Amino acid sequence: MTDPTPRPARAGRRSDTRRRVSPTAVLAVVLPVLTVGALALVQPAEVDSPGRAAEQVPPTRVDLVCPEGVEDSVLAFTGGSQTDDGAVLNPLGGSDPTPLELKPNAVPESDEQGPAWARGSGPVAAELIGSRYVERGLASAPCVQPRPEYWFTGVGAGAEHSSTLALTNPDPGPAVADVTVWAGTGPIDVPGLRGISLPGGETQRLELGSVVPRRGELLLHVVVSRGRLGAALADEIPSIGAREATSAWLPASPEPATESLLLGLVPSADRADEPSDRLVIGNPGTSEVRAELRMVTEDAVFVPEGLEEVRIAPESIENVTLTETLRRQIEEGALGVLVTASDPVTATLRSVVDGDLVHSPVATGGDAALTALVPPGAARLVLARAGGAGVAVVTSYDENGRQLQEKRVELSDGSGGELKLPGDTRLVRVTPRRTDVTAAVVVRAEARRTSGTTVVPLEQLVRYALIPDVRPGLPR
Amino acid sequence: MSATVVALLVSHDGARWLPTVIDGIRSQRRPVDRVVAVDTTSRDASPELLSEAFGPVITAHGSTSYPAAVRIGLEHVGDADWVWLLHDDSTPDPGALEALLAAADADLGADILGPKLREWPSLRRLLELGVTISGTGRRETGLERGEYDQGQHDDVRSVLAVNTAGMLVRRSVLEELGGLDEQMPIFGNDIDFGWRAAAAGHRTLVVPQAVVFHVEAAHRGVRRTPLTGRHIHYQERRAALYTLLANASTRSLPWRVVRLALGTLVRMLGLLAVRQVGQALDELAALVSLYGSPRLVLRARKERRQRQRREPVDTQPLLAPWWLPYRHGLDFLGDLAAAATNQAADVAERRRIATGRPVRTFDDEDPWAEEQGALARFFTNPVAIAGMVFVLLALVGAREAFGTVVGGALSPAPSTAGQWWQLYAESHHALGQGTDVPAPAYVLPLALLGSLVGPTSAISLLLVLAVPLAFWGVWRFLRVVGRLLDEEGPPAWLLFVGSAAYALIPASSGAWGLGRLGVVVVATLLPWLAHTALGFADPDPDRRWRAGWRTGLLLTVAAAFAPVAYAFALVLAALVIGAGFWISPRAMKDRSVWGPPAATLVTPVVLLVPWWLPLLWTGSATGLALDIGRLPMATVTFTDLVTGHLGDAGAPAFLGLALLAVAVLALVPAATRVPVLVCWIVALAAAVVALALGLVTFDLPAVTTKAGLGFLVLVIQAAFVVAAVIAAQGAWRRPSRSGWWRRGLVALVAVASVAPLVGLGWFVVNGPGELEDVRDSGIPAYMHQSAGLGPSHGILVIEGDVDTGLSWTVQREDGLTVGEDEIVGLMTPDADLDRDVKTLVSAPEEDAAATLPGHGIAFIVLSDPVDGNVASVLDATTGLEGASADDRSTRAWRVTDGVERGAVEAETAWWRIVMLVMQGLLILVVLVLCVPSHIRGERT
Repeated sequence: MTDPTPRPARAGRRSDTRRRVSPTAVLAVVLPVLTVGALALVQPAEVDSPGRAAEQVPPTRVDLVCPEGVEDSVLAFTGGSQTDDGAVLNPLGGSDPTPLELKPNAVPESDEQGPAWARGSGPVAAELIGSRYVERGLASAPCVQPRPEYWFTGVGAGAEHSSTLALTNPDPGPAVADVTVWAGTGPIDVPGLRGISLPGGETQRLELGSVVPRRGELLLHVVVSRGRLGAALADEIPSIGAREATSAWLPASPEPATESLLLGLVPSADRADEPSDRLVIGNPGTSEVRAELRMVTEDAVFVPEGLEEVRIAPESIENVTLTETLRRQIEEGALGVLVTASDPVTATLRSVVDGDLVHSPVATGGDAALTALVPPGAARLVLARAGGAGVAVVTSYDENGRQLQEKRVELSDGSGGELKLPGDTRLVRVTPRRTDVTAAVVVRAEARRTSGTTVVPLEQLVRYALIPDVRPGLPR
Repeated sequence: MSATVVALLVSHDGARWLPTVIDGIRSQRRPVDRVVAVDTTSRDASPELLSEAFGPVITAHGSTSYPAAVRIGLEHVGDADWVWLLHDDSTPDPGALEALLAAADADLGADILGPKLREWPSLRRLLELGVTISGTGRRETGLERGEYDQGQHDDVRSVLAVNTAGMLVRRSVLEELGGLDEQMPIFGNDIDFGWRAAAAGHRTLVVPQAVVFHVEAAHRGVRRTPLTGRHIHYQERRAALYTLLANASTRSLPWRVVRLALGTLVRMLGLLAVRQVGQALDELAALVSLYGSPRLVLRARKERRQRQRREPVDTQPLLAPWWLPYRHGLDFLGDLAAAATNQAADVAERRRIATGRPVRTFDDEDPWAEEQGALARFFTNPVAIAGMVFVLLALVGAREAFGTVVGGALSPAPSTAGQWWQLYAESHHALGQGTDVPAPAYVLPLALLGSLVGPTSAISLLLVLAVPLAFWGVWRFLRVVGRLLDEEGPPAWLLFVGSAAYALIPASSGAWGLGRLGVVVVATLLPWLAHTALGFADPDPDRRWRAGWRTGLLLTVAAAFAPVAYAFALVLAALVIGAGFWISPRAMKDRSVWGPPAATLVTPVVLLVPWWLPLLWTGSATGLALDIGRLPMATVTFTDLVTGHLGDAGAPAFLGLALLAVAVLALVPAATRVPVLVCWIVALAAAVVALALGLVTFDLPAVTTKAGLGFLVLVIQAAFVVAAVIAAQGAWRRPSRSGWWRRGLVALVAVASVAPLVGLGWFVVNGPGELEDVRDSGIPAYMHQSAGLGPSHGILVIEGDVDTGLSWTVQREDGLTVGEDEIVGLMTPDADLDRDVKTLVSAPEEDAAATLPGHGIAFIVLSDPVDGNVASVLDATTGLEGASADDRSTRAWRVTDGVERGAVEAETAWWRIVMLVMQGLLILVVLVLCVPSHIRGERT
């Protein structure tokens, strides 16, 4: 455009010359080809966002919130292999903190009855676990690391089954939680469970029978919107007829998942007993879920005759009475129930066996050492769903940390097994080699003329702190 | 007894005119009694001519001034009653002396009489009928410029002064007043003389019946004497100031001293504004020379006082009225505006005139047009109606931009324009943890516009008027382009289709809906820029230079709003100059051919120094490859580039494909192939830049982004539109060979015209895009208020979750506003704060929050969706206490330790001020260079 001389005349003259291609004609081909060609080379690679996963580091501190005791309960702790004396038990409500004297694999106990929390600092933070148990009508509940949300499946709020949610705030600052409730008919609006505020160092008990009185099973979702909270749910079946009231802690369900293994089925000891088994499945999602129930034995997973697919309506909870099938299968060696759902669900198996309330919780397993604190009683280790051929090394310790037994269990793909643990076992550790496995301990104890059973899932003790990838961003 | 009259003729190199002058004196009906000729050492034949005519000539030194020459001549006049002063370039009409003497007889009180001066050689135009002086020292004749003498001023009347050319003065008065003042060697001594005479009680008359023709050789610079030198303007101004100061009443003197000084400054600015640097300096020199020697003036005043023997004549009515200078000022502005608007009258026509081709005037309007009203003509013109409907629909599409507008890449406007000015002036911004990254250059034009209409309205105006202004601009551009091709230019319907197609590009490309303000502004600007760039083809070198500076200024604005525009301009210039050398190497050697484009390319570099230079030294030169607005840039692929889109935004892609097809087909007709090829060269330049930038990915601290290709998308589409219009015009004007060709053409045009229609429909429906009225920042109002207390009351905003990573930003004061996104996008975040945030969110530690006040942080906000893990860590951190959040989906904490004042502060360094002052001055210089030359050389 800088050239002030006009050019069309020149172009015309050249095009008149025969047999000679005019330069403009050449340019008319070359320029578009060059232009489009240059543009065609602009092929921007997708801007790939670099990996921003959190970094895993050994924890330097762990806090465990233990549920409130019922009657004559005991708090048991172990620091695993650690001897560190950095663990302290802090009872809520004014009592002074007491240090936990930890020796390797020993299980020191405390008779602190009120709500309490323990803090492990230093190396012990990686392995400190705790649990509360009651000998009469044996029941146990783990001390939990405060987390942002808790799921409880199969909660009762009626005359035949009632539960109490206990929220404990271990921190000095206030904490706030919101509880969402689903029933068989769908979500329930419970104003009393929204914005539950707890001042620092306090426990709040919510008797669901009075907060949201209704029959049938409930699914609870506790979301801690501010501060940190430990949540525990005490479950009670009141006395009916000749049977005495029985209670236990309902273990919190893991996040909803499409596959849940409820491990540790409890056989009935008394032939006269009329056990009841109820499987409760919660569907917090917005679409209907189909769930298939299968039995898990030592070497197989199958759908037993007469067990049908369960349909759970969106945002509701469904319960299935399994007693007949389950009892038959237990006799034939069933170890657990596998729930496979089309969409994520939560599940619990609640049984009343020999007059005692037992929950078979979802066990998650893993490929690293799994541990559990074992309440006193006759303990039986159940292994299931091995991820492949390998070995599980089972080690038992007594309360002083003395190794009672070390056994190797050969595992093949999908297999499991049962193993009786020595009588004084208070700590069991399962170390899978070349495979992964799911495990639970079924403990049966006689105390004060009553027998009781509890199922304790073994949990992977690979505990780490997540250091999130933090980087400067752009404002929204 | 009749009075004796001696003519006193002073000459200096006047041989050109003297024969006529001598004839004029000799042919007087009332002959002069004697002629005294004084020659100031002429180097031509003047002395000979004079001595032949009038006998012995008095010879004076070459540097003798006119007053001195008169004094010398007066010694030889003897006891004549009247002295008739004549110049060697003024010739009297035969009846001049007769008429003057008749007037003197009629009014015995008149001591000085002057003729009517007419222009020589035209002889018809009036020069002077007596003169006076205005309060600013301007010589006032009371005549229109170039007024013809039609007897309209033929009354004898009193005036302040008359020109010495043809002045008839009583010898006694001349002697009593001491002749002319020699302080004014050439100019202005006549006014001073008249004023002095009046003060001494002598009256001056102008006698229009006496006519003298005058060349005004000295004033016009036709004659250079050692006395005038090259600085005629200096002499004139000095004389004017001297006259005013020496003759003014004592009462008004202080006021005049001040007024003349200020007036000189104003006149200097005015002269500088029209590139009359020499005259401006002359003004200053004249003022300094007089004000520097006050004794000169005092002596002159004393002398004048001493000569006041009689009752002075009242000079007040004879002086120019007070308002006259202001009227001249208005006239000057009017001239300037007229010159600026006439400038556009049209490169095409001037080229045609320059090449000697006939210029026809076309009147394709209705022959009855003159008889109809403007409204009737408008409503009977289908193209005008279509244009109006188009603009109205475009305004409907732009509905979201009325009032406050944010969204996409567009941040909210600041609340006052002052914030823009401040941002632009700062060398260190209180953004994030403080940064030296410079404010982008477009903040300056926004601040200017925002100061006029307010920041919110400024953004609204730019967005709302984008399509209408682009439509108007491209209409003008296409019309001139069309007229360069053939005289008639493109038909109106074609102009409409082409203009609509272009004007919709910012909308249909998605730039508008994405809030890419820079691309939208440049889309508006581009046709105007292209129009001024057509001036490079002007036959007049001066107009080429003006075009060069104007294009440079517009390119600077374009590069401020779309930095890539400059890279594109460089590549295009390289291609075009290369083509120029190929076609006509000789023409390219002419400085006025290559100079203007070079000026265009240099201007942005010089004017954008306050942005580009700090960008380089802060290591943020990446900013030159990005579009303005929020990061990241849209990913633009091959398909987007050829169909004219920014990423996934914008109208359906087939519209762009249709345009591409038409642009390729436009290459087929040989007649218009060359101009179409020029369009393709433009597209090629854009493609080359796109290729270079498309290969790069920029890893900025906060985000990874591609280069901003919005401007290039725009240019490619624009080139296609112009190519299509050129080819369509060529085909339309030369209805060729067969009917099927024409039918095919009509069909093609019809198909191509659908594209803008569909685009318009799309814009009307989907106009708002990502734009909205407010953007939810998730930050509670009370925190905003707290942040408004100062930059140290920052809000740390954390987003994301532990599993996929967290990102943090710090919001200060009113959050990010237009102009700040680019700074924040390019700045290096503070590593200390980054580390402290990491500590803060990883595990609750005792003193994790202790450093926050030092970082200028008063609040922490965890954005929706909140990661409970992070929230619980922050809840357990001592030094933080929960604060109420906007809603339950976000969380907020207050840092319990109070803010640390001055933790983060903005600074304005001296060098920034120097840079900005320099920039301001350079902008003024370029503006002055842009001013049309039409008004040059006028009397000011």
